[in-house]
Parts: sequence; C-alpha cells; structure tokens
Amino acid sequence: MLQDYFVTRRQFVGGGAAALAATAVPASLSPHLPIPYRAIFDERFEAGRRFGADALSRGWVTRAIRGDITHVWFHELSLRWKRGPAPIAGLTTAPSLFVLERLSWDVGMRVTVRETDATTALVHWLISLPASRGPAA
Amino acid sequence: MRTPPGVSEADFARILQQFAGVVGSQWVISSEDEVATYRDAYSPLWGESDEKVASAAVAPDSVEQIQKILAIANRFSIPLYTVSTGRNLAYGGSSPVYSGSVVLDLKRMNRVLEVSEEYAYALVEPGVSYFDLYRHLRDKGMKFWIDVPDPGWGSPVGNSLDHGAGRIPLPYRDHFDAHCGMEVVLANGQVVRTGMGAIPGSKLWHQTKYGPGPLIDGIFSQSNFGVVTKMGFWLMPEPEAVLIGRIRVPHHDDVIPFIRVLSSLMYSNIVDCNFTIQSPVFGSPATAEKEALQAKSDGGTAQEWDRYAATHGLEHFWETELRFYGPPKINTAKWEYVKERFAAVNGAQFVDGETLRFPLTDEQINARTDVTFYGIPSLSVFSGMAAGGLTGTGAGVQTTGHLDASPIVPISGEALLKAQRVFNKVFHDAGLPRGLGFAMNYHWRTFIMFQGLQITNDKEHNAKVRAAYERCAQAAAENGWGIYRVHNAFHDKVMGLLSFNDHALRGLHERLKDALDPNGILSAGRYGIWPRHLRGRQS
Repeated sequence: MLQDYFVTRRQFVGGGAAALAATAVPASLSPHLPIPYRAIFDERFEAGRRFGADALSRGWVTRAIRGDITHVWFHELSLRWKRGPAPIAGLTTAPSLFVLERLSWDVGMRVTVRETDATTALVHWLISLPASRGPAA
Repeated sequence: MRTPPGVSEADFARILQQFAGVVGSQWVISSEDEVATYRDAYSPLWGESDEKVASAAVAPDSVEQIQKILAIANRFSIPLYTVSTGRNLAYGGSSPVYSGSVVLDLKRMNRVLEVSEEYAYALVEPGVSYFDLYRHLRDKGMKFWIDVPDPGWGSPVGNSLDHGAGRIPLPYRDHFDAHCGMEVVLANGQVVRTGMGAIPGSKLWHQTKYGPGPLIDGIFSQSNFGVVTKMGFWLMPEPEAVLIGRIRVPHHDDVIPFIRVLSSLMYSNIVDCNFTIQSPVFGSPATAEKEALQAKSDGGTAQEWDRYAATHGLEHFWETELRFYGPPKINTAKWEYVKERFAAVNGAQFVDGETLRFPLTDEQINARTDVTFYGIPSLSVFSGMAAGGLTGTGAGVQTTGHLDASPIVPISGEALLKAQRVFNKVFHDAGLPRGLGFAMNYHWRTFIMFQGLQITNDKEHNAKVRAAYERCAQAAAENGWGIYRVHNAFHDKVMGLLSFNDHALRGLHERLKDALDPNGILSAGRYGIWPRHLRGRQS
C-alpha cells in the first residue's frame, strides 16, 4: 500500500510548469496522481487559501496552518510517517517547508517539487520519495 | 565521494562495507544526496571551501553496534562525529567540527527505556526526541512535564549534553542539571555507568547524581570523551495551575533595583520560573533619534533615554512576566509576596494575568504561543520565523538561517546595561542590525543575552557575521563574561578565550582526550578538544 503514496515529480507537475506557477492546485494534474496524505496551506495568505480550497475540491485532506506546523506534525504526520513515507503537498512559507523538509528526511523523503513565487515568496511544494528510492514513474 | 582526511576512496569504501556489516547497508549513508542532509543548514560557512561537512554517516541501533563501529574506527583511524537527533540548528546542526568525519548518527536508538512514576524520572536513549518523550508520557496518561527547548525536535540527551535549557521551573529547565545518571561507551568500547549506576542492579541510578568518588558526568558534556547511550532525566509532576503576572518599571535606571529584588526572589525560590527582562523602549521601532543615541560612545545616558521614552509615549522602560506554578492558593500567595517586595522599587506597576489549569486541552495548546512554558514541545520557533530579505543588505540577499552568539552575564541591572552597551558597539561597528533590552534567566544565577545574527545567501554578509560572532565572544571575555554554547565554526576561537594560567583548562582537556581516546576517533575538535595528531592543525 505504501507504494500508492509514491508520487513523482512528473506526476505532480502534471500539466507542466504553468500549472505550478499558479497558486492553486494545478487543475491539469494527472488523474493518476495519488492523493497526498495531507495538503497543507498557510491560511494567512490569499494564495494559500485558494490552494486549500482547490485541494479540498479534489478530495484531498487539507490542513490549514498559520506558519507553525507543530499541530499537523504531532497529531498526524509523525504518526503516519512512523508507518512509512507518505507524500504531502502544500503552499506555505519557506520556513514552514524548511521544518517539514527536515522531518521528512527521517523517512527518506525529499522535497521533489519546490517552486517559489517571486512576488509573495510563498512556496508550492511536494514532499515525496525521490525517484531513486521509489518505483519507476 | 568525499573521504576522511588521508583516507583513499578505495580504503574508505572498504571501511564503509565493514560498517555496513555491523548496521546493515541501509544504515550506512554515503551517497551525495543523503550525506547532504547532514550539512548545517544554518552554517555561517555555507558554500565556502571550509564549510564543515561529513564524508558519510553510520546509524547504529544498539550499544553493541556502537562498540563494533568504534573498533573499526580505531583500527583504521576513522574520525567519527556523534549526533543524537542531529538538529542543533544555530550551533552546528549535525555537521562535524572536523570536516570529513563520519557522522555517528544515533537517531535509531530512540527508545524510552523506563519512566518511573514513583520516583519521577525517565531513562532514554539519544535518538529519543522531546516529541517522542512527550508523546510517551501523554499516551500513558502520566502526569509529568518535561522541559523542552524552543524547538522540540531535538533530543533530551543531545540538548542536555550541549547545556541546553527551556522554560519550566528549575531544576528541570537546565537540562544537564536535570539529568541524573548516564551510560557512556568509551572510545575503546568499554561501557561505563556513572554515579550509583556503577553498582550492579542499582536502585538509585536516577535518584541521586552522586556515587562514591568523583562526579564525572560533566566531562561528557560539550566534549568528545565518549558516546553517551543512555541518560536519566528528572520529570516535573504536572502542577495544578499557573498564575501569570507582569511587572513594569518606568525609568532606565530602575532596572538596577528591579533586578536586585527579582534576583533575591529567585535565590529564595519564590520565583523559579523562566523570565525575560524586556525593554519596550529599546525594543521599540527604530527612529533616527534612537539610532543616534545608540551610536553615542556611552550608548546614551539614562536621562537621555528617559527623555526619549517620554517624548515617544513609552510609559514603561522595563518589564518582565513571571509564572507561578503549583496549587492556585500558593501561586496567589507568591504573587502577592512578590508585589510586596517590589513595592521598594519606585513606580513599579503590576498586571494580574491569567490563571491556567492543567492539563491543557489540545484546543488550548493549538491556540497558545507559549506552550513551551508548560512542557509542551513545539516547532514554531523555526517554522514560524520570518524569511526573506534583510534590512540593510543588497537586493537578492535572503536570510537562510541564524546564529545565536550566546553570552551569559551576571544577574544584575548594572551588568545588563553594560552588556547592552558592549554588544551594541560590536554590532554597530560590524554594520549589522540588532535589538536591545533582552535578557533571560535560562540557567540558574545568570542572564543569557542572545545576540541573533542572520545568515544569508551572501558570502560577504556571512563573513561580517562570523567576525561579529567572534567579536561578541571576545568582548564578553574582556568583561569577564562567557558564552554558554557555541556554534561549531567557533569552538576553537571561543575555547581559546579560556586562557587562565596559560590555557591550563585546555591542557587538562587534552590530557583527558589522550587518555580516553588515544587514536582521536571521537568528535575531533568539539569544543576545541583535538586529538594529539591534529593539535595545531585544527579544522
């Protein structure tokens, strides 16, 4: 079952770079994209709220944060990752991603998509097993 | 492939195979991508030729595996660098002092071995994080608090060995002081238990620090004399409640009687909480007038600062927030007594704060920003911090991390004011921004005055930061003060300041190193302690 959570960069980007440049979840994501375990967005920002609404409309389980990722880490991610890697996606500030990235290293995952908006400095990201660790895309 | 100094790639590959034979190949980390996770994200040397980087890492799961790794390292003179969970950001992360070392990563040794409800202690391995221990107590319904540093992803073992501290009352707040008993694997593989733990079947290992003979635990902190594999920690029984009160005084020089009363209350154990002395005046937004005052050779007189505060509508020059933990009746009585004592300080004002009852609900925890004061680990300090450009630097310069030059000074108003002048000058001369008016009683009977320094993606800026860090340490020493904990890029510089009697302390450290680790395989250079064959060459 854990392989169901393997997401490649190619799958996530799906419709291409233009989709990532958008602040909401790319509409053209591949229908084969496995659902991220959690989609995390920073609700302090309009772009984050749009990402969260779009992710929710796709059936992803979303979690709103306000910078600090402690709650979602302690109550959900840390428990899930004890059973093995599970991808997460998000639109947050760089410091929020900084912490999530380091925590994900402990289960062998990496930031496999990282796109920073030049205007807002918010980061659209995917944390998943890198291609070298998972099944072929 | 990066290799330890003086080791060929072919030899290193064979040695890594031997490590793999001990721990399994998946626990020997040697690919470039994976070794990169051991870089110090907040390194002031990031991207420089002398950035401190590992060659590989090996992650054992047991004392027996550590013993076998040490045997291999001794046989082939491989430098190891021990980390617990390897966080330690702002102090070096999991990067070694001696570049090319193999990180001995203890994160897999993450078992909570014992919690005694009767004697209020926990025995843990190095890879247990504060979150792990907190969850263990919570899941088992044990009514104990742990003390956590601001970021909770670190390890009680690692943090206490680096003299870290947190927020709940003493003695728990001083993490090394709250430990009781440790197990150490020496470089030759011998396992030692300290204190009463040396008695087979000891029933006292984690109740008293003392055994007959020397109290030796301290030599394993901020050092490289062994690999600590177990530590006992005293736990604080969950109090019924906390009462929060705030005290304010109006004038610049009020800080002197203010801290005199406060320290007396602290030495009497009436006040045992963590508190921060803050100045709404020094901490107010920068103005040209304020900059001019700070730039004066005397840092501005008391009269000038009082005038500044008055003209800018700042009613209080100093303030602090106290927390009283325990039964509400006792908390209230302590707060009333504190008010009586502060009546001796002209103009002192008191603000009664909230009373919280424990345990907090998850909703309360999620809504509060001060949970570390209640023994609850958090990651907000890093995930919530600001990112982006840095005032006073060129376009495109982005903050990537921070350093804390961490001088400690005596708990007195005079020392606080002098330290502000001293460190303000350091930052002013370096052309770096800084805040004023911030001192905290992290440890018992001292103030710590964190001097935050922003690391950026700009090498020129980072060079200024490194120079300012070293100047902070130097200026502290010139005033008889010290640094409580040091980023590993500066271990040699800071330890070099401990020069009493021709560096006699360093000589003692080196004699211990020679006796306990003659091949110099353990954490070379940590806190300036180098093995014989590297002395003088340094990192």
